[in-house]
Amino acid sequence: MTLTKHAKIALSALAVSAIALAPAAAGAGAAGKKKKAPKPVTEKVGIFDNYYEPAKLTVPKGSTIKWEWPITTGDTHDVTLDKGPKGVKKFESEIAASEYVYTKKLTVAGKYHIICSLHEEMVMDITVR
Amino acid sequence: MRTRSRTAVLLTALAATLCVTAPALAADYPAPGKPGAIQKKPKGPFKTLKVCASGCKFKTIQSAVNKAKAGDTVKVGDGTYKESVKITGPSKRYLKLIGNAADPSKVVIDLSSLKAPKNQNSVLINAANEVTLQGFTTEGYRGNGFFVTNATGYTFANLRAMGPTGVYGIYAFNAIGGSMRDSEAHWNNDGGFYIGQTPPQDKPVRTIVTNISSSENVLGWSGSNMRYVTITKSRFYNNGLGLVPNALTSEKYPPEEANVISDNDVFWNNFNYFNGAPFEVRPPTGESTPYPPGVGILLFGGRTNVVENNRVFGNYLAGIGAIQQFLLKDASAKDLIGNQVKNNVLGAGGADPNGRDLVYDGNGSNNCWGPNTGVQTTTPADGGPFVPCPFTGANTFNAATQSEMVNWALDPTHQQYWIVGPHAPIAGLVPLENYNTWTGTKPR
Repeated sequence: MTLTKHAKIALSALAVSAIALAPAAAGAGAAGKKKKAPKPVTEKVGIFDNYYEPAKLTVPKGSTIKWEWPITTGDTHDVTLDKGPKGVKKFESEIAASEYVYTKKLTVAGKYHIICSLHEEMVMDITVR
Repeated sequence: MRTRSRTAVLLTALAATLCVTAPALAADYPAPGKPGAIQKKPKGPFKTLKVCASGCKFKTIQSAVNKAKAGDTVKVGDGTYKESVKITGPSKRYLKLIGNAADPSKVVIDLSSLKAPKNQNSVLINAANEVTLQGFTTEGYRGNGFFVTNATGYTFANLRAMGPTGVYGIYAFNAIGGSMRDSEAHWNNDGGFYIGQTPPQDKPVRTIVTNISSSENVLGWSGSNMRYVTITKSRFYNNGLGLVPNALTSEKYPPEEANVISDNDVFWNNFNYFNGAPFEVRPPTGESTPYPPGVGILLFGGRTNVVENNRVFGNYLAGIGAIQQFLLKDASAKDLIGNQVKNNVLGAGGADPNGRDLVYDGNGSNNCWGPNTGVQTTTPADGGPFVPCPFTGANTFNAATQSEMVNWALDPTHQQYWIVGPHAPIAGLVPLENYNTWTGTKPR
């Protein structure tokens, strides 16, 4: 089985996330030192037919996710929070085909399961630490 | 209704090995839509709110909709409105949004000068039951023209979705029951009309589609996982393909089933949009398979659909075809079962032949063909799978035919397999094959 372009990019994103997490893990083991929270980041997610890219993300608390629709018209999609940490209000983007950016700041730690309400197979997961 | 497949197994495995942790507490949200939820019919008294450029209380449609209560009427005067409109939630149930039913060209919702997200959906009805939308034209939308989702019951009448930048013209998704009538759609880069993801029902509520006209789209009618829909007394012509009820993995509830396509005119669906179109055409990639232009009616998977009493002519690949949905992930829903194709008239008495009148890969069971009249050519040529109706039992699979139909889709020219015949003239219509040389009326 060969990796698709999407799998490779997502794989890279996961590797970056893993590297980003490494210092925090090391810091936790240092006696007497206060754990420093990682700085929030901004991550871009592409909207395609019918997938998000990357489909998995791990980000520090307070990070911003920008879902970007393509310039050329694809099928219509949206970004809908299906499951999230307790206390997080449900959010959903517009239903759009192109030229649209939906931005959301994630301030509560936990797992966010995102779906396209029009395409069952189109899902992504975000872990906020 | 595009499809893509992805290789995600390795990625999933790697994600699992990272073994990220998260708080145990989580919230589940309501599903995006549960059509069928009871929304009581409002008792009134009802008001009529008027919208027009001057002299009315409301100058924008949305401001009137926002003010309207369930069951009210919003009457929109002639003119051009540069706004998208949302009708959302049970508080807007039974709303009537009325333009000019006698001449919908006089009430135009034009999104062409707007920016995202205002330019995406001209009118979006979401989770509001029994809304009536009547007497409008729209153009310049990037997503959908007139769109209802997550609703039980709707009426779409006297609507015109003119493209040329959008995906679907007139569209119902995840809805139960409803009607579309006396409407038209043109220049959409997917379906002119589309009913998709109909929830299965114990006591099915049928959707009635009558007297619509769909032309110059990639698909005249797209029906991914569509159920209980009757399409009748309508015209589908000059599209890439006329009607394509289909089973699709990307949406819920495959396959499409229990639809009736009856007493329609389906002709000249040979628009090779790959050679030029006013809308954006997504190039085919290794992960997607385009539908081949030149087919009148194609069942791509499906159960208990009835295709009868239609007049089908002048389609260069095939008049009526049926093929297993071999790409579907749900193996239990791939096969054609219990479909009937009968009493159709093919080829206009020989004056306007189809490239092939009937094409069927013989997949599935209980599928029957005929009697149909005017059938001159079939694929396979020996007519083996075309057993007359009624029929019970396994059909005779023909691998060569399925392979040939796949080749149609993979053909880089998208017309290599056409069998081009003469067209009988139809007043006011010009056959569309190559947009760049076409002499018909092009969009603005």
